[in-house]
Amino acid sequence: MNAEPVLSVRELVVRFATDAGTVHAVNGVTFDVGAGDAIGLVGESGSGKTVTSLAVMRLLPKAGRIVSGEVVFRGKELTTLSEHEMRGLRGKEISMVLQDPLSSLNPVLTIGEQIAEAIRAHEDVGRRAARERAAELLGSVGIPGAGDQLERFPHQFSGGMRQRVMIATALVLHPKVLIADEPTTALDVTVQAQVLELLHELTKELGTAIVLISHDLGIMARMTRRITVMYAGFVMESAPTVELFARPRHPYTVGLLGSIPRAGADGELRPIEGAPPDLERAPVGCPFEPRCARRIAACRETMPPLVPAADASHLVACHNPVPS
Amino acid sequence: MGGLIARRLAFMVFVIWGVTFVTFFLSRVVPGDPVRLLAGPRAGKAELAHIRDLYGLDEPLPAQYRRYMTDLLHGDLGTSFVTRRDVTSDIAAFLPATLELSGYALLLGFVGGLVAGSVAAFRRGSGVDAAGRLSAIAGLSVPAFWLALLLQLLFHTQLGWFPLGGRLDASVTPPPHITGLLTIDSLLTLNLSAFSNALWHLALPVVTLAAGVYGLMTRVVRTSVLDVLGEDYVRAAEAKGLTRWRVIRRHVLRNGLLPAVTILGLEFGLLASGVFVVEAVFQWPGLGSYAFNAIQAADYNATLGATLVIAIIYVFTNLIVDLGYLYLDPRIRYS
Repeated sequence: MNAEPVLSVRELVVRFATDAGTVHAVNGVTFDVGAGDAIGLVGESGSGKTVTSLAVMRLLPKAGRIVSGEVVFRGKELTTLSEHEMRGLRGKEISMVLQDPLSSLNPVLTIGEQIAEAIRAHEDVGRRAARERAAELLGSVGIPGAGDQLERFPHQFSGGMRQRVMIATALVLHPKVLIADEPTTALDVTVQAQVLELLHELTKELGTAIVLISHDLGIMARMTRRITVMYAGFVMESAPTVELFARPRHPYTVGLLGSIPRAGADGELRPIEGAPPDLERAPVGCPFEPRCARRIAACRETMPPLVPAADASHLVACHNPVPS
Repeated sequence: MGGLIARRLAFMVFVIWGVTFVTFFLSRVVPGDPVRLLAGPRAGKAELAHIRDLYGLDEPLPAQYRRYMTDLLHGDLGTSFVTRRDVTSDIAAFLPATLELSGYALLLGFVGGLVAGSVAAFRRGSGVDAAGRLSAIAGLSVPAFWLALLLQLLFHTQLGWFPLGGRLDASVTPPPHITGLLTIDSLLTLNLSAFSNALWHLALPVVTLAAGVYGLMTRVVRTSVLDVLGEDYVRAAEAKGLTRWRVIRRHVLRNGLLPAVTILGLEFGLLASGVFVVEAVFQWPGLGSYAFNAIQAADYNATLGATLVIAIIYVFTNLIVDLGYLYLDPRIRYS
């Protein structure tokens, strides 16, 4: 990892006030992204990945609140920034690609209008200049006949094309960080590979750091240099990608890796028993304890801190980690 | 697109024919004999027979209907038994008052509902939201005749702020007939005193008529804006760094108001039925009053003529609304 992270999230805590009570969505998440780096947040649905990314963008739904923690972008603390300053960063310095390309484009505006508005939100350029750049951009994400495509509406595009449009829009102003939340989950497998390849190439070319959010470890292995494993709003383990796959230390990570189907492997698929905990209860102890095969008495009492396991770059939060 | 319009027009002709058919036979079976009303209580048998013969009312119903339709195709709506004038010229005289009344009511209800519905959605769960929802329910459920009487009692009898009815005070000289809409005609002739007097007379009937439209609009807009606020594309727009106002205008309202356009046709229906009651209570000399009196006097031709005109307006506005929707929603335009 680079010495100076471009984005640094420290002990982030996010809670939601609902009619049923407080939801403890994110409980002290920490990770760093170096300039031009690629990191992954992995975990089951409900593990707090998406909430973490929305908190970084300060786009949490009304009921959600950052209770404590820091989000530092290039030395600037984002959690205390005014809405006006924050808006200046969104789309320009930090941008986002959402999970479902079918629903993240406005059905009544043309593709061209939707790309151009991202440019015009931050730069004082005319309609025409914005359109020309939009056309150029569509070409660069491999959409043929880009000029004519600008006049078309989202429903006239396939899912893969729409996600290319979203990626193009997110990268149009050359942001320092791109948060991609399950960018290929809604796509066909064949299209997935193309979109990931595009994402990889463009971010590399522009020097954009990428925070990839996914539950798919296969994608993580291909796309990231470092992975942070989340469970019930906690970071369970964080390690360089290669290290994590070779020597997982947290029982949950081991469980995740064991539940990937592998062609040719003779072993059975081993799902993790049980279900994630109810986030409406204040967390006591390790949230994975009820499902953990290696639980010990301490697991019920305290959440273990995230500490270096073998070396300084491999962090694990476990009272009884798997021996390497 | 052209095919669609042609199909719709053909369908409209069918609907309008259906309206004439139903109204024609319905008006003949309801009790009341126009001939007796026309001839007066002291008329003898011979006189009644003479009048019946004069208006062709002694012929069998199918023959009468055939004659009515033949005249209709030649643009002749027959003669009113009561006013003894062409129904066509009667309608031309009474229609502008109704158009003015319902035009303002539609505008007020539509715009009011748009604003109230959107604000309620943006401030969901707040006092403003509660007030918006309550007023919407009230607007939809309070009967027009009752609201009309209530407004008259409060603003005329108690406070004396607004007139009881009519379009203009007797002391005010009406502006020359240009469009027939008093507010427009008075403005065109720069007659400001007539303009303000006409507006002053419009206030209570317009509010009464607008209440239902406002209620329906508010509810539809609130629900649809709430739906849109939860859409990914709104979040994506925010993530682009657009200002809040831009997100609301371009993304939330553009989509949230589509259903409002859809129900515009329905609201014309609300207006058309409300206008009878409101005109009767406020002594508004419009088509509603004309039809109301015609029905009471069993004035067949006048009843049919008024119903036909209202049906034609209703069907045409619905066509326009559908075409407008086609323009606003590209998903329909291209499929």
